[in-house]
Amino acid sequence: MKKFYFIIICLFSFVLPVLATPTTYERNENNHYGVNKKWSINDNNLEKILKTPYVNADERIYDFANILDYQTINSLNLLIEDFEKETGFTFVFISTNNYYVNDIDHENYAVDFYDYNDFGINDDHYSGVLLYRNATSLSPYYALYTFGDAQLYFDNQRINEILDSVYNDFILKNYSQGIDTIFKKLNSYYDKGIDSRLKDSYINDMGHLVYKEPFNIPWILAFIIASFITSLFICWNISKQKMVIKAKDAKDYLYKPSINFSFREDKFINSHTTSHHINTSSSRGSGGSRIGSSGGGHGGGGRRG
Amino acid sequence: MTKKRSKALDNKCPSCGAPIKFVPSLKKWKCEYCNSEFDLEEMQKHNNASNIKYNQDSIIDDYDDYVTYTCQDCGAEIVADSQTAATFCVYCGNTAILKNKLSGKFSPDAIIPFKKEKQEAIDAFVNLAKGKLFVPKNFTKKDNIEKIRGIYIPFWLYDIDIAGSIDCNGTKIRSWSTGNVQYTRTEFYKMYRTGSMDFFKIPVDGSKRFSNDIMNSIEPFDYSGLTKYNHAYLSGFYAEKYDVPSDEASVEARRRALESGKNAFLDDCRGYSQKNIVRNTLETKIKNKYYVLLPVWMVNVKYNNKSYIFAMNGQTGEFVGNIPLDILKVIVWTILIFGLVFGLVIAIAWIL
Repeated sequence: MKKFYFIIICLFSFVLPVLATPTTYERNENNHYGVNKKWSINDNNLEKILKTPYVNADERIYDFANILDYQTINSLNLLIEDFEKETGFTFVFISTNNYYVNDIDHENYAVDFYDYNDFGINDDHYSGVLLYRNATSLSPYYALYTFGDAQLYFDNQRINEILDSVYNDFILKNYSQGIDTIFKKLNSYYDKGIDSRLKDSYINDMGHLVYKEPFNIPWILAFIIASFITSLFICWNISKQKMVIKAKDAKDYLYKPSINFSFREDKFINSHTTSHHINTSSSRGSGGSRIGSSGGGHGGGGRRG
Repeated sequence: MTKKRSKALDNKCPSCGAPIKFVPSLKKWKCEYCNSEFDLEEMQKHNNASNIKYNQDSIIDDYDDYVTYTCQDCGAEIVADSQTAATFCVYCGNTAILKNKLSGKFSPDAIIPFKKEKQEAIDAFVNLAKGKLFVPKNFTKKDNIEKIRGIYIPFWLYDIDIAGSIDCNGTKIRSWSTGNVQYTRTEFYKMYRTGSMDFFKIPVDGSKRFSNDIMNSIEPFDYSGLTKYNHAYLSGFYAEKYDVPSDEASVEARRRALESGKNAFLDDCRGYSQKNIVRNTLETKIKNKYYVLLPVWMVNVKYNNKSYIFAMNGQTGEFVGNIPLDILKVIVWTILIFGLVFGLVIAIAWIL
């Protein structure tokens, strides 16, 4: 009998919480389709809104794929709590088993999930980070997406480094260690501050990262231009004081009407043509936002595996 | 050492017999004692105003290296070098024109009389610092002028014809874009030209005593001012006879004509971004040569124990010479301009 009770207690303590599926709610006109952010709802995005799970945004872990064990969830909750306290950014974990053919579908799903729920609702730019894991064996994928001001601290280059560092953990489903690494790196990058490439960039009202080339003082250019102009100025003024010049020609004494050419011929010999590509790319490197169906901006990226 | 005897002339006032000088601004001879003025025609009526009586008695001992003569007015014995054709008695200031220096093969074909007065040369020097940043302080003060002399410098003038042909290489470069690709087409040509042109009165300094570069720098003279030589124009000025023979001087005139000739041929090859002569058969031919005296104000300046020579075209007023640099001013201006431009570039970069 004791053995039976032990099994029951174990079941309730460990198995049931792990297998518990996050609660979702219905989106309808009465609750404004669950969208409380400033995004406008229109024919273009309504379908996507309705497809996006509507969840209680007070929670942070939405393990639809049931990939995290109880300990990992507890540990993740603590890490999220510390991260949000330190950075002020919301952190969301979502896992799913949906099958997607294209990588962009993963991104669309994850970003819509963040945008059409109340994550970061108290922040002007809805700042936050979303860790996405698609655990289906057909299209496994993991990603970190950034929203609002988090795009400045965790730019694409930093996100790519984080994703690369946890690749093996996610392939081997060692989520506990992978998540731990992600938070260590996120905290480390936050402590380092915004990268110098983005120090003059900012997030606009729609959460788009507006990239502004950082102002680097052009010391060498200024030196070259200043040297050139100064040399010209000094040489010109010195030449004004050196008025004695050897006569090189006699153009003042040439009687122009006397110039007479009895033979003129211009003969074409050969030619060659060279070509080169004009670089018209307006790309300004990493740091720009991508725009989701909500119209809001986001950054980050993902990996297959 | 050879010794020749010749006459020293000076110009006397036909009215009172006092020394008389040519006044450039009046274009007349004016007596400073009786205030009489005479034009050339009037002077010629009086045998160029030379006082034959006095001059007949004056003796010039002409050696190879120098000339001695006795001033008719004060009796002092004056020494001049062998190139001097007109000078002054250092005691009484009277003009002495050594006529044998300007006769025979040394007889000038023409002369451009002085148009600019001594004061204009002084003013030109004093105003030299205007618009020039690196002139040492007080350099252009009148007091620094050690000596100022109006001198008729001997010049050779050459009429030169140039004829022949040139072969040139030339390139034309054309660029255009299609889509994202920029094309540059370079075409190579050979150009041939045959022709001729005339140069009139290319001047070459006929005196070794004066720097050719300074004499080049006061060019050009306005040849419409050339007039038949008359020694009366020398009154009140120094004069030199040539010591560079015509054949020697013509080398420089030919060189200058050839250079301009080549440029004129190249200018006729139009539409090329690059062109250079690979062969030319241009030849010069001297059609005429003239020996003339041209007016120059020579200004000797002493500043900080160093001598500087300036010259002013006595006809056009062109004033030349090398002004020393005030190194401190050069450094200050260099720092100022560099700092200004440097700051401006950074400010513009920041705004953009």
